[in-house]
Amino acid sequence: MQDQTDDRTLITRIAGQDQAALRALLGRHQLRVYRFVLRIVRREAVAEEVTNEVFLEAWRNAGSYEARSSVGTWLLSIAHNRAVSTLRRRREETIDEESAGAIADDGDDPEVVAQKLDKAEAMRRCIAALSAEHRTIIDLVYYHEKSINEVSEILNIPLNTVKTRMFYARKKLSELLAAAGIDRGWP
Amino acid sequence: MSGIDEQLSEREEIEMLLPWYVTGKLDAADTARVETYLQHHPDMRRQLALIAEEQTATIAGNEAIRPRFASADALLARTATPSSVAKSWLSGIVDAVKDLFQAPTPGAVRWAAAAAAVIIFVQAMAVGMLLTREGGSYQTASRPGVEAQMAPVAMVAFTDQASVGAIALLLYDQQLRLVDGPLPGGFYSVRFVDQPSPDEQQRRLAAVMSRKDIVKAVLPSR
Repeated sequence: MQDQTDDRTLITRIAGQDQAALRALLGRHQLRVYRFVLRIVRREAVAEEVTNEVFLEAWRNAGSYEARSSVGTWLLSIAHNRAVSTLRRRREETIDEESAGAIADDGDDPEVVAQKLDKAEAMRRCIAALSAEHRTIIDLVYYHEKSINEVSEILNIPLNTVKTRMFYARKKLSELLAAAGIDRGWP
Repeated sequence: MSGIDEQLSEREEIEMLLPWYVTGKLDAADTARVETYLQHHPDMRRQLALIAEEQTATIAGNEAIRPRFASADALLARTATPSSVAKSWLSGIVDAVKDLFQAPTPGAVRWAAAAAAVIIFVQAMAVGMLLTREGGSYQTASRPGVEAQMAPVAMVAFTDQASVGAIALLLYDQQLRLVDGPLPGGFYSVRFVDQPSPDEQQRRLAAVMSRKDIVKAVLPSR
């Protein structure tokens, strides 16, 4: 709660063109925003530039921040819009399909892959192999610990879509794990 | 039948809420709903362990990303660019250049003069930026990496319709500087003001190329 108050104070100062406040905001949120963006665009240089754009947009629009959501949620919402439009511009959606076959790319059958990898590593790789849409919601819920309302705001989708998208992301993850020889007994 | 459907539907709805139940991000009403369901359907508790596994892997995957961010100074320098001060300065210069070329001079002369103005203008902006970034001090050309930085990276030809202001903004946005030209074919040599990574260089040149309204052609120099 204290963090949120501090964040809002920073935004107020940024609205007054206070560069020190922007530097402080970067210190607090840059890493999380960068990680979120990188998991969508997948290229470090692109993620860095998109992250910069997010904070420049925050700098320019701090005056219109209405404090209806936390600053972190607001930044992730900007980050999502920027990352997705960058992805569209670069037509990198095909990368998702390529990476969806990432496990098969090893040239091994699923059993061999399962033997090579411990379960946690297999899980990380399968999450990385999800589509950008599914990976994004998994990240928002599990890593950024956003509520249903917050995810709805960041992705600009209805609450029920948030729930069903997360459900299908988990189902797809289980399918990828099953293909890698890890049967979780669900769904 | 309808009873089974309702039961399945309730089960699915609860199943959909479980990730937020595990992360503690459900509101009080939904938390109570999930807990009541779990009491009556203990088999569903197995899902909680699966979700905890998924969360652990997601956190590990994110925390494995450890970037080394460039200094915040570069970003802070950019905060001054599109905002009022730089913009009004920019508009002033662009207007002045426009006025200058209102006179009916031959097209080729106008274009050459415009290009010269762009070079001077972009260089002035870059010098101003460097002075701001370096805190008012200056560095000599023997600074490490400066030679690589000075090398032209591409040759750019602009469309006949491109305005001076549009060219200046495009070059400034992509952190490019004109270093030579016009060359045969109407090309100009450009180099980066900063030292971007190869990926970033590619991205910026692609951004230049995508501006068909301003740019006729881009050829790599190296």
